[in-house]
Amino acid sequence: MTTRVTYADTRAESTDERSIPSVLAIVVTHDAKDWLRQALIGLNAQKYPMLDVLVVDDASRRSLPGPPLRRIAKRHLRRRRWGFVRTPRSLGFGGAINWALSRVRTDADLLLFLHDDAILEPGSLEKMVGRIMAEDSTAIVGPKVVSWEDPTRLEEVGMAVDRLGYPYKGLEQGEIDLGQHDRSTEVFFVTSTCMLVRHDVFRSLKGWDARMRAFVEDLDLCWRARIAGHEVKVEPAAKVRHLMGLATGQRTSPYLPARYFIRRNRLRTMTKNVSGVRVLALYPIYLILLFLEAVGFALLRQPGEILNLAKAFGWNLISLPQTLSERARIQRTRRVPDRRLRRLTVRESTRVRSYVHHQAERIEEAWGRRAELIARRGEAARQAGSRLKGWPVAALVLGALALTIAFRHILFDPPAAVGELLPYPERATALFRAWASPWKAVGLGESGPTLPAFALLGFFPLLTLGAAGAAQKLLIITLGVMAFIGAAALVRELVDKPSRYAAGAAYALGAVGYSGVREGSLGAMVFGAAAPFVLLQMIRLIGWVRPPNWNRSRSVARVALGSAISAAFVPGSLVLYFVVAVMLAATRTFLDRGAKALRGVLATSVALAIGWLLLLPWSATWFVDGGALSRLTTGDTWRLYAAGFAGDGTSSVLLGQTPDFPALPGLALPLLGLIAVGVGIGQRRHMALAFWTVIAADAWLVGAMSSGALRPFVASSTEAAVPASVAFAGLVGLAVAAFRQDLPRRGLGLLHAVTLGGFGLAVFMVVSGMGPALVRGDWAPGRDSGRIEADAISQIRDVLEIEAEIEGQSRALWIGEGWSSPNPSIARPTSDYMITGPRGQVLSDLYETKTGGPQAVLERAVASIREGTTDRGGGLLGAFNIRFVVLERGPGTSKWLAQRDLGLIRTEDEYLMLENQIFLERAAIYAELPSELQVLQTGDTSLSFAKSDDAGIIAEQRSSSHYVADSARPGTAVITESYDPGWEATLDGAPLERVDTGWANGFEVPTGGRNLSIEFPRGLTQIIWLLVIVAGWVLAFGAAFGRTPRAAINEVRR
Amino acid sequence: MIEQRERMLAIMIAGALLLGIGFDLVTGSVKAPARLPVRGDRIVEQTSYCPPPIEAARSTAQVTVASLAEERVPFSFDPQAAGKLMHLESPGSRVMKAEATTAVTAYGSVMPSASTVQVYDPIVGAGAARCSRFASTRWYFPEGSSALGFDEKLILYNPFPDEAVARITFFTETGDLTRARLAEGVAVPAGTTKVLNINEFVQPQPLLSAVVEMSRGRVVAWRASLVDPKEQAAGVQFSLGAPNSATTWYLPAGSVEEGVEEKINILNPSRDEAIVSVSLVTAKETLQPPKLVEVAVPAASSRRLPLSEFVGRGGHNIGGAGVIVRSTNSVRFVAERTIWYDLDAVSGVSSEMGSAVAQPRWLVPPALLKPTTDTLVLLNPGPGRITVDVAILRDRAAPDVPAKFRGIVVGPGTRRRIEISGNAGMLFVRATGPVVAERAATSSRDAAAVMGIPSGS
Repeated sequence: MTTRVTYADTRAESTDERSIPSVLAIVVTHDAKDWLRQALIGLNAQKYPMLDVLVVDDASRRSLPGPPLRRIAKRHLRRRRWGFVRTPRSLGFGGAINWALSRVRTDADLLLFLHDDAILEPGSLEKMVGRIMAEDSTAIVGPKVVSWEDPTRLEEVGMAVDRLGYPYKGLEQGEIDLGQHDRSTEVFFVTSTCMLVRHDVFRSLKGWDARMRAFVEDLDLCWRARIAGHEVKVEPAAKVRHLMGLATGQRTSPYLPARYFIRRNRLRTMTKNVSGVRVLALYPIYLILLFLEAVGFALLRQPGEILNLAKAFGWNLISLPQTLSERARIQRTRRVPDRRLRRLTVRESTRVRSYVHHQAERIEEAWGRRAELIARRGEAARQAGSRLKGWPVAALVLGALALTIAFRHILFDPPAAVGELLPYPERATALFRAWASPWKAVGLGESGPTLPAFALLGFFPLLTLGAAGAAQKLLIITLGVMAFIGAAALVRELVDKPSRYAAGAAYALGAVGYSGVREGSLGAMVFGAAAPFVLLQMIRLIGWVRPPNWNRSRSVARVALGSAISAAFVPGSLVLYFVVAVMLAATRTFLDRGAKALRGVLATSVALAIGWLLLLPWSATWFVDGGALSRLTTGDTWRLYAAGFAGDGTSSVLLGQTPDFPALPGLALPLLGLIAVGVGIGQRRHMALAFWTVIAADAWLVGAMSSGALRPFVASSTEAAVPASVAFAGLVGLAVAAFRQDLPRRGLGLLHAVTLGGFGLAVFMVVSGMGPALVRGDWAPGRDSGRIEADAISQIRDVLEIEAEIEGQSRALWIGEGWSSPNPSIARPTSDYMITGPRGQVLSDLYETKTGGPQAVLERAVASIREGTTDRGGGLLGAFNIRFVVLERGPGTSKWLAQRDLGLIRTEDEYLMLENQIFLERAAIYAELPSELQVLQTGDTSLSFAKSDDAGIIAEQRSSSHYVADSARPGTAVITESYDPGWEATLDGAPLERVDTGWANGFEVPTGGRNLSIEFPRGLTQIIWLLVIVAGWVLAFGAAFGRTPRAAINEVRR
Repeated sequence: MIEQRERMLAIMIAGALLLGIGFDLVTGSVKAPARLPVRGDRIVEQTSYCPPPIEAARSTAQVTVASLAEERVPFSFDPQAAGKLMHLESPGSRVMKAEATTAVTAYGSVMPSASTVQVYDPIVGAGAARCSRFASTRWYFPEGSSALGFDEKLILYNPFPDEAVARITFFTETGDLTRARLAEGVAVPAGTTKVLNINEFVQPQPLLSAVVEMSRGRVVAWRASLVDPKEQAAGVQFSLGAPNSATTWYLPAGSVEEGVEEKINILNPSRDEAIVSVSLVTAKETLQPPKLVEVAVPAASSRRLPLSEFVGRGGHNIGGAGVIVRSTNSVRFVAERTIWYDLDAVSGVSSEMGSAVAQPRWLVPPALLKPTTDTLVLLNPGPGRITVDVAILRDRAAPDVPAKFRGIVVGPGTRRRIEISGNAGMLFVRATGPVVAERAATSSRDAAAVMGIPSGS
């Protein structure tokens, strides 16, 4: 794209004129209508001699009616030296000015920024120049802004702000201009409607903040000027008529919704400009206001506004590194402390009063217009209804209906509790807390690195405002939608829109989702949702297809992010991604000898390594004994995982049956893949062949893992076959494109008949296979897995929760395969028993290590019960704070029923519930070491003959890693969490000696103390790690999705 | 050129896929272990629940405990010796008096036990029943009667800390018989014993099998019957219920001869008709009476088979014979045997539940404490010859293994009677293959039989 700058030299210069400051007026316009002409006429009519005008077209649509902008400028700026530039894409008001000034060389002393819907009244410029030149300290001057329609109505006479950057006009609504504000005053800021700025100051401030795009950038510029020691003034003798086209709905903007941009930019402005200590104090206030606003919007049933709030906050979070860097630069220039600016700010109460008054008027007006509004909406609905006809709409409705029927179990049933697809914990922030906690309250408890998966999953309950059931549904739906979008994007450079939709649908409704939902394989679903995006970037890195303005670094960052998200759930996905990259590169090299595909493989490898780094320190534990990958590939456990591949192999992958999928639609996939190769032309055929190589390689890997020739590096065939499924989805898109775009270009012949036949057969297989599956609702968590239904689990959780509320925290032991995962996975290792809290297994219980001494002691206790060597299992389990046993009915049930200290409290067809009468508290002080612990420690059961001392003092749980008691007695304090030297106890601040309690943690409590605290403290290393992880992810997100003005300029230059 | 490369690549992909399919065909899948081995010693602590005296004031009960461990076994005997930890020199056995339902807990070992009762009033008789290693949610009692002269009781013991509620259903030859008061549920408070006098609930029925099903909790259930019918000898029936149904039941003791009337009671609690065959196992061979090849037991009913009526005229004096009852249509059932003695030397009745398992090691408790005759009966249901050693376990002394108890051969499909002399306590039977062991004893006033207790491998 080229941009031409034209100056019409129509001004005669004289010596007198050289002595007054020169002004360059910059008018930024976007999709302007007649008002631009008016604005230019207003400029042209100024008597000020040293005025040049630069019209900056911020990528207006070329299709707009009317003469070209250049011609308008030429016609109405005849008396001025003028220029015209056009940005390659919309950069926003500030961004467009920055861009234009980087393209145009100007020696103007002053810059006049003017909106294209603002008319400068004759003589105004001289007055503004006079004001700015009157004092050296004045850097920015604004005029009095009045209404376009009625110039007697005041719109703005300088602006004030409160501490949080909320603007305040200080004018009544529709206030008449009677000269009451005609006094040149210093103000906090003037708006960008019309603003005269010293050029040198503007340069020293580094111009506008282009990242803001629109809104609040004027406040930011003035604030920065003030910090640098300059003054901002309003000159009421100068007047501008302002149309306010956006506010009055007369124009559109690419930067909508306005509230989102206003909120986001205001927070950025505050973060950048408020001084160090104050910003820390203001943030909590800001967050509280944010929350209150969200509550208000929830009450007003405006979810869109809540989304805007979240988006604005999220944007600032992602942009934080850049914002902080800007902040550092601005604060270095600070010459004026914030307290000296306070005279120009207003109190919050003033602003709130004004806000309430304004809103009250709005509501009144809104009620008055209610009837009109209803009528208008009715008409709009009628018009929309008249448009909703024809087969596309019918197909859309049918599709939505079919999806609702197919996914009815997910949508309407209680939260699933199958495999890794577990309910969310009740508290909205529970997963974030689990992520940040130094002690994982999973199973018997364990220390370890933070789990990135928890942080990723933790966003969903926040989005549902803590509704745990809805969060799980949202998670599944989001993964499905992401899979659709990803697969559609995978082939978007090669195919038309219907083909993209076909690819998306084939993948979203395909084998990974089908099998993943049924088996509760959350890892496979996340991997499946991320994989198409990663493959797309790999395809670009390797050079198969590259869109215009493609950026290698951004692709690397995206691969890193996608692979990190995948590997947070499926560590072996990194290996699969690497294999895919190698296959794509090899195919490209083979087909095009000159291609530099190796560079792409290297870039992908770097990206995958960054992905691994993003998961540190957890990813460092993958290879240690009991770690995620070690468990898959070594010891006694690898066979358990490999056995899950039974029945899978090259043939099943090739025929679309791995992951598990209905036979007919599965068979349609290779058929469509053949059509893509046979009919496709050029790059489409090449891409199809590349996808086939990915399928072949993946099929080989699955076959090798199934046979045991290769130790499995992923937990199940569902995970292993994700690359093949993505490739098949790509082939479906390419096949549809080949059918629609390539087949008509070939001569009529046998190929047409074969393709038509093949396509018809594929469609028949898909319809006849998917139809019954949709009707049956086969996308049901746990379907045909032999696992206990979610209803029953929900029922049990209710019982346990009620007991927990009455009796306090304890653990539950779930016995039987009905509760376990249909397929073992990294997040949920195979076991026919599990330990949970009173709410049953929830997502924060994933990633239990299931190794170590305490686990071995528990295993021995459970085995003793199962093998019938003991019938006082209650005492043994009680030592682990297990109060309830939930028992799946089955052959081993009688052994559990024989336990004489387990009371049977509930009998159902599928399960039994037993209550343990003897159990240790989670944390308590005993006169002596409880006999239950001694029995486990020594194996001498006769020790249990003597009755244990009841816990005299029970410590209160503050968090999963902290317990306190406000009274104490001499004895032994026991916390029934896995032994870890990291646990520390203090009595009135004095550290306590450890006592050997076997699997748990014990401390000797001396006489005379009062306040007991038992804690697993958070180390400095962990805090540093948390910060590093957050910073790493923020940087990666910024690199993957952020767009800098420099990048935009580079794009244009290219 | 490009097209040629495309073709080559397509062929290479097809070749790779074909090779992969070939690899699939020649390789198998990895077999997963059923369950990962659990390392470390097991924690051993077991309790047996023993029945109380049938009539507290008019009968006595003794419990025989035994252990096969190699060291002294600490054990408790509640409630008689509450709070006291005793020790048994092991291997050995001890007889202890029981005044109530008893929980015998062995620490670090297993302590099989059984109870014998002597009744003095209103009839004089004796019976033996095993103690139970566990409580169950279901108990089956094929034998039973509420006819005149039968005072039948179900003894329910709830050793758990929560109240249990039992529903009792009766089965006759014509189907099930529900009695509202029992079917609605009988509460058995935590840690207590409840004795139900069946005659208070049911009209006289010659055959009245019972099923105890728990609607809440679980119990141990025994059946005791004080029998004094006009036509038959008086005595005591005493047996522990069967917690499960099965497709095969072994009853080693028994006899088909003049003066002895053996009846096999079969309870079919399922919803399908059971077809069973009843075989007689003698010292020489296994006999299959033609009339007992296919015996139909309708669904939810019970049936009594007097053997003498089925063995034919020539078989009336077969003599000692064990019984194997098998389901031929895989419907699970429960079998119990009753023997009526009307001989000069002994008169009385004994009943005992069959064993559903054959094992190489058994502990066999005494059927009577002071018997006139005491017999160990070994039944070999398998196809191979089995050699058996029998040891007599004693209190505070090493086990006694008389020479005649060593190397006892039991042929395939036969049974072997071994007379026990003296007042022997618990017997330890160790065989080279799976056998079933039962002990039968008689005294001048009654007879009793008790099935052995399988003691692992």
